[in-house]
Amino acid sequence: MSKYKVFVMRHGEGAWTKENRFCSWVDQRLSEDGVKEALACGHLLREAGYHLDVVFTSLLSRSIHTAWLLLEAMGQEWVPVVKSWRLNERHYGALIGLNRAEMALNHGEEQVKQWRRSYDLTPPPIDKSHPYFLEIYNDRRYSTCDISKEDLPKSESLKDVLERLQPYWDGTIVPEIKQGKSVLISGHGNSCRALLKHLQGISDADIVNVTLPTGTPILIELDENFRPTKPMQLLGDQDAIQAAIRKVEDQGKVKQTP
Amino acid sequence: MSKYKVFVMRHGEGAWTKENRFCSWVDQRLSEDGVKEALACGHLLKEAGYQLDVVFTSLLSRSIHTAWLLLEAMGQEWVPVVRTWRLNERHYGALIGLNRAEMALNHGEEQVKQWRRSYDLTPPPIDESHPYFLEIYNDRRYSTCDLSIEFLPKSESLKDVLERLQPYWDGTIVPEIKRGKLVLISGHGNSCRALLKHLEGISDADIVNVTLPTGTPILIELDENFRPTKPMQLLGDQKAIQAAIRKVEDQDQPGCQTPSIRNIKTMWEKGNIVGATECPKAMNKFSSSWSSTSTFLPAGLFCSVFCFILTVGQVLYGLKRSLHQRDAFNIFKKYIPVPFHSTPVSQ
Repeated sequence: MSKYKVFVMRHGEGAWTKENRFCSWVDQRLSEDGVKEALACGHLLREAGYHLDVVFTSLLSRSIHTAWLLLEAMGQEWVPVVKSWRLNERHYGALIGLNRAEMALNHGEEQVKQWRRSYDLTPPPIDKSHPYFLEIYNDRRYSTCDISKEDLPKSESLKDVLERLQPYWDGTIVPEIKQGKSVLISGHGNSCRALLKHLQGISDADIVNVTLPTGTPILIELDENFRPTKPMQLLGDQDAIQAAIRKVEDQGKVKQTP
Repeated sequence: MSKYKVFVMRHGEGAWTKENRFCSWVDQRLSEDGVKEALACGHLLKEAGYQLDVVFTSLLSRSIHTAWLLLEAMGQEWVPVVRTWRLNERHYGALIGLNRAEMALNHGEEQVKQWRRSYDLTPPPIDESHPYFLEIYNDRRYSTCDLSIEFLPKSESLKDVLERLQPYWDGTIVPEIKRGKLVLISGHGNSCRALLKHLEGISDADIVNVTLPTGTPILIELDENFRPTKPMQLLGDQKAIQAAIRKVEDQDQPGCQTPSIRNIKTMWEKGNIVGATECPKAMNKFSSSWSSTSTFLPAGLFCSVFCFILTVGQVLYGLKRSLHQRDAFNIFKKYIPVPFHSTPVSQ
């Protein structure tokens, strides 16, 4: 019997998605399609009659805009939106800004897949020579975090993502859920995967194969011990969801020249 | 010496603004122009180099959207946005949703002006027969307030607005400012006026004449005791601000407008509005030309003189809005009975 429900959602398409570049902590905006996806999510949740009480986002604008657009579509802009770096996308280190297909050509599809999908493999760290280093670490938002800027990650595995996310889940989000609040987490591909791994008890080996579609609310139902009572449900048109999953999977592959 | 800075801003044009309807607690959205105003504010603050730390809004979407658009334009979407009913627009009770012109026709301009502009006069309360009662009180947001829904207002004077706003200012906003945070309050016409009355020490009589333009950031600088160190500053293009003030004033009266300069004069005295120095010279010029024509009064020229008076009156009507010296204006009042008067225009 489900006691709690929580929504987890990967934001819609970002500006770099079409270019197939590792966006990570670079603050790229949603693309036009990403905006439409967010609004469509909001309409879907509204038609299903869901009422939200609090929305959590990362510090990245694509996550925040997704939340704002969703709330606007639901007519629930007054719902509190709480932002935290601990829901940020996985930090891809030195791979940030690089095109996935080029990475696959240079390092091989398998290496890229390992970096992207393994549980505990960390890419090379970002350093001051990286073209996006200053854009990230000079940004004032990273001076407002609950740890000092020097201690923020320079690269992460999926395991590292869960390690910095879980205290926030346990200490900030769970208390809200326990108070009976309906929570939605507007996250990123890997921060959502990390959380779902934790909630659904997915193994280190199996998480490699989990692909989350963009702009699709995922409903997780939990018992009083925060264990899932049923498989997570991807809400919306199932054919469209399958197509979205394939789209994400295809991003990691090398483009075939005819 | 200023220790703290805080921004207060009235949201941009709403969907009902053009219809001249009392919006109050009805959750109308920003109009297209209102969206543009909010983005323009954000660009202005960004270019001026301001970096916000926290934004406060009401529970009404036009206030929240203004904050979101402003933060987006500044590239500071990550800044916390905190919402509270205590920053809501004044509750207009039974007048909610009514067209201002219709109210003036049904109840008289004076009564409407009193309700809108007096400090402590409360309009008739909203009740369950009101077409917008359920839309407001069935809304889930009002079950999340720090007061139970039964105690939320059914009608408010400006004084009531300040009474429910001040505890929030003192207990939630001031501590943030004291921690060195740069705060922006995305509010409404009357919630901003109430707060400014409190901060600037504007009297009950004078607050009646204060008009706030929409979509214009107002910078208030305070000392360590939260007293203003200088007049509040309306940031942005000053001509556009003047036009925005006139636009709000013009909403009050149907048909021909009878402007008041007292509210603008207050803003000049209190604010940072340029253009005032041009006016006395123009007034002096017309003053001398009037006294020279006053000797020409043969009956056959009466109509010409009358037309001349009306023409001068029309020109002065426009100049009056940029009048700085009250004495020069009072001289003209003696000779031009229409359209000038000193009664403040309701907002």
